[in-house]
Amino acid sequence: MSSSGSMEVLTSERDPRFANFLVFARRFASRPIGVISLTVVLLIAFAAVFTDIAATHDPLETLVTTGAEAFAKPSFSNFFGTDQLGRDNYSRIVDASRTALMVGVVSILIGAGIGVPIGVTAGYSGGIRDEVLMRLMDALFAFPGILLALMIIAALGTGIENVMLAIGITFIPSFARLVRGTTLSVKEQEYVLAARSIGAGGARVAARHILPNTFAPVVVQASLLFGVAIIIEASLSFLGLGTRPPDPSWGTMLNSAQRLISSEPMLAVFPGLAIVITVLAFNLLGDVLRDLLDPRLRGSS
Amino acid sequence: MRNFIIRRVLATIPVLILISVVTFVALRLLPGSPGSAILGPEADPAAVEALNERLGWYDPIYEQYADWIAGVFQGDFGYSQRSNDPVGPLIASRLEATIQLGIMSLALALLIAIPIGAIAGAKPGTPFDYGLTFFAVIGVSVPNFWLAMLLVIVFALELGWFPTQGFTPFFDDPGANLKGMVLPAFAIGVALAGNLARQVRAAMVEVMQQDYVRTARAKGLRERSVLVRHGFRNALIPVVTVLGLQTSLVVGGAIVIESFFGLPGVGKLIIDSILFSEIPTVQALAVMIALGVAAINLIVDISYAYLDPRIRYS
Repeated sequence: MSSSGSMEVLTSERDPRFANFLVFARRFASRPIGVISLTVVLLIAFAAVFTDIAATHDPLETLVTTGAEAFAKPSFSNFFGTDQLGRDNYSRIVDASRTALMVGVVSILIGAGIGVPIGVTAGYSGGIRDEVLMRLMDALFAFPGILLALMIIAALGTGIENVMLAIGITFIPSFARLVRGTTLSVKEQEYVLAARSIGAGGARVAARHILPNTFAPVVVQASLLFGVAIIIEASLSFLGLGTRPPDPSWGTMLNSAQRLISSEPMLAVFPGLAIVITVLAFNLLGDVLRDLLDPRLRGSS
Repeated sequence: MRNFIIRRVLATIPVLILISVVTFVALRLLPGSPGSAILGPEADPAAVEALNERLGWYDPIYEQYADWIAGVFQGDFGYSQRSNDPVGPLIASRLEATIQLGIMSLALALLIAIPIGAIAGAKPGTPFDYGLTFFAVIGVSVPNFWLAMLLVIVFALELGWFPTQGFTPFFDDPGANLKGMVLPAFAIGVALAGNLARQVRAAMVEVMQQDYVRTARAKGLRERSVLVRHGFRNALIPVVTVLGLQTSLVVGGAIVIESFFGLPGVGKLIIDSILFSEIPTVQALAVMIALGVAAINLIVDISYAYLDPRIRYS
């Protein structure tokens, strides 16, 4: 990494990782799109964690309990209006952000947790293990993501846990392929050879010398797949095969908006916007991270 | 070239076998049994048991797989549990709408993506280029079904230009058919266009930095000729490779969009079959789609090797 100031040199003597992180943070801060998308992601995460603060109403409170109006227009008391039961649309969207983020986090942990070890094993061992593992990944990859998720849902049943598992499984081949590629290129590096020549075993080399190098591409991939996870969850819920009430979901909201589309088209607008803004933020963040973390692209833009 | 094709076809065979195993095993985990699906929830348990026995439900799973795969090779995909119709012809009757939807959305995507991707890539860093990048990211961030809802609200309900639902076979009434397919094709095509435009742009940027482009300029060719003959034509080669991925996206899009627009295609059949636990139909569809995607990827790889000879020898 470069060392541009005396401060940096001093800190780097203390802890090179921290210095690397500072360099990275400084470069990230100079990218307005990165800063904006990270801010949006953090705001959504805040809304998801502190729903009581972010929401203005109880998301489940209906007109029966409050005497509120059904299909109220957007106003100061109901930012996005109310739905057919008099529930506050804004608070319901805030409530559902928790589902979206949870599905994203858990499905990526599942996909990376299984896919990364497969990729490292395949790339590092080579030979028949590589062949078998990667053909299996090819077979999974031949199914369009949503179809594979639908098949798993069909086998396991609907509900948020199965949705997260299904989406996570569809992500396994993406991580495995990516990590296998990185492993293949790192494997030939001299420091790996050096580690092996002093007697480090396969598992140790894979864990200490190869795995850390896959970190950056995996983070970029995770950010991009986060958006995909949110879209698949919303699609499954929209089809009535995803998250079940009372778990809130933007897809479920759009499913009920669909039935009222000719009389109350506004109901379809806000949950969809919530999806687009969230997914857009993760995609832009992923793009910026890729620019900053991928050495091949460094300096080209 | 022939060796490359043989090698590539042979490499596909284990993948095809794995696809069939994955599908078979995944759907064997379905709750319930074919007997209860056919006879209904209130049937006599003994009768359900007898029917399951007759259908081979209690045989070892590898025997069931062998039976099923033997049938598939003879074009026998089993029978629908509700209507008792053979699954093969049922799927065949649904292909028309899906194939038309796929071709229209892909054509639409290419029509949008190639010109704007090429222009942006020829002049990187211009406002037009930034505009394209932004459009492309938005394109992949919008869920297709939500775009479909917005299109219906504006162009079907408000303006009344297109129907909200339904399908007319092309040969019955081409006009009505196309009218009904425009919004669904747009709903799928926009996301594809975003993806493709980025690929075309990247390829164009790469090509314009090549030595032969500099040579073409140096020998005094007009810029227009450099861009089209040396730049654009070479930039389209890598774009071929991403068409395989697009097929997968088209099918995924069709599943959601056909259900939304009530198009009688393969995608809607999948959803209906899952909702009614029609195992033989889901199984046949999943295998056929995965086979189709694998086959298209194979064709794409081969045509890429044909277009770019370097690939054949790697």
